[in-house]
Amino acid sequence: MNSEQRYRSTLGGMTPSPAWQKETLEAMQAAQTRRKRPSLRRPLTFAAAAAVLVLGITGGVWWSSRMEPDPDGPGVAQTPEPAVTPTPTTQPSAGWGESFLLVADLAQQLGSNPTAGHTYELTQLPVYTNPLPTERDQRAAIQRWAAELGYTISGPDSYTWRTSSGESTMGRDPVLEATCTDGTRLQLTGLSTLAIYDAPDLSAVAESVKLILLRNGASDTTGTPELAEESLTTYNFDGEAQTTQVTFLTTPDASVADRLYSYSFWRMELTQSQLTIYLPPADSGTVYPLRSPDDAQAAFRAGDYWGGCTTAYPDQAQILFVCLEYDITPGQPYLQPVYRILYTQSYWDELVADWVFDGVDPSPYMGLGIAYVPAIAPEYQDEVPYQRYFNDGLAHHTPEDLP
Amino acid sequence: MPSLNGLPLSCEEILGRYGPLVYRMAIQGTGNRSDGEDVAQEVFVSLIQSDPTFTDDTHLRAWLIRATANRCKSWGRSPWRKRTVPLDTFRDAASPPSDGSGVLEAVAALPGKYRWPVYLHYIEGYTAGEIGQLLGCPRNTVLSRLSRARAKLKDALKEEWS
Repeated sequence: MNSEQRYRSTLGGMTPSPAWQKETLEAMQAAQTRRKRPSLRRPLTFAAAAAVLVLGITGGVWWSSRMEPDPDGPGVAQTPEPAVTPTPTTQPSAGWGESFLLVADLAQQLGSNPTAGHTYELTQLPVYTNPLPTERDQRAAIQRWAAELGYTISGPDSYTWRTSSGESTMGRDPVLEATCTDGTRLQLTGLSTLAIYDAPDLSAVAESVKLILLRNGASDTTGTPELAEESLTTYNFDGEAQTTQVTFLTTPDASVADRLYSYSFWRMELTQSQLTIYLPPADSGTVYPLRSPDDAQAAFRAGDYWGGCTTAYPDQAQILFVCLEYDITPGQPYLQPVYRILYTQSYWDELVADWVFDGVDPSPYMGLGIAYVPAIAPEYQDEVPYQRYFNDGLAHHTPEDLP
Repeated sequence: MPSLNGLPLSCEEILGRYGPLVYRMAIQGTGNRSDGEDVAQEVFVSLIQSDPTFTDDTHLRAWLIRATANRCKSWGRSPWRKRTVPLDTFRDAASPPSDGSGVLEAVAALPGKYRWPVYLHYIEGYTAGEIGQLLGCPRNTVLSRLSRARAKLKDALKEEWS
């Protein structure tokens, strides 16, 4: 019996004693008789802050303490519609079952998306296939990347291959992992994502990847690309920050569509423990018409959207920011554009206070939802079906889910 | 009463369905059976007092897991506990009931950010994605923490974990 089995058999075999159950049942019943409904812990202070943000949107200018001065960057937003702040009619208890990110500042999820303020200008974009590779295809690809990054794969036995990137409910991309002689692990998901783990010096690898992006990207993008960066941060319930440093290619004079391509497919994300490289699609894509930003927001408000965040009352959400991006998450048959809608709910302030762990001051945090709505015009979506997974599950929210 | 899918749950139903989960987690979190039993009881009493409404079983479990993790954390730093528990006992509190192999002690000695993913995955059978939702972090973060926890347990136990 190994240590994992001993752990399972020892702790897993513990069951409450009859005496404890009896005593606990009595305590619960006693609490039931004297129960009174607790009052709300704090006033809904965030509603006022959100209103200020919405005011900023309606004026056409984004305010952010981290705003870049670039007038064509995300600092200036041509927003789809003046956001309306509905009067919240839901109770805080309605938040059970809702899911959102914790951030300290909206700017922590704004990034440097090139479509910010330009969503109305884009009426069509290419959709790319995301082919299902064989293990042989993946071996060839991972060996090319190992050579380019200067790694030596330990040997034939160091490869592991599995048919899906997650657990049984997760998408379709096969995953090939290889261990290198210095202990670094390379993990290729489909042919679109290469993750690097356990590198002795991950920051040095990041510098190498930046040079590779510049070198290889020059032949795949228009003009002379440069490196640009953005930083995305969320917080766990224990208050720990999760920051992703993103490096991507950009060509200042290129069209918004071209910059969106580089932003999505010539891209590297670095966290404390992992570096991920997003690989450009192999085909040149097929152009499809886009639905309008207004239409995408209407779909969200009706409850038809995707993603790990969810709310029971999308019609009452305060939409804070809308942009376009390519969905580069694993598991989908096509790499296609989606609207990324940032929103919040006034009653989430209460939930933040409930959800963070004891000892964590909730006051610096706000709840932020991200909804993804396929950008391809609905009449063409059957041709390029969209899928998005979150934490192993298909993350599609539909109007039927609403209360 | 707390309700699930619009139907009220009796105390007996709650204890019958979720008793083992909270009980084991509290023992793992406090480090010993006696404290764990106290914490677990507090969690169930708190559930009755809070009277929440749950849309499904997952959300009820998530509530219980968060409440148990919170109480385990605050239990260790409770001023009352620090005053009344003898120093030697308190120092040993990170050690749960021993099976003689040291495996429970090794898991208990992990920092919380590693211990809870290990517990939820290996004892309660949650997937990395589900643990991510319970702890408010991405699935990849959970996978990374499980990987690091396995490495730490391998060092501590001088044998492979799984």
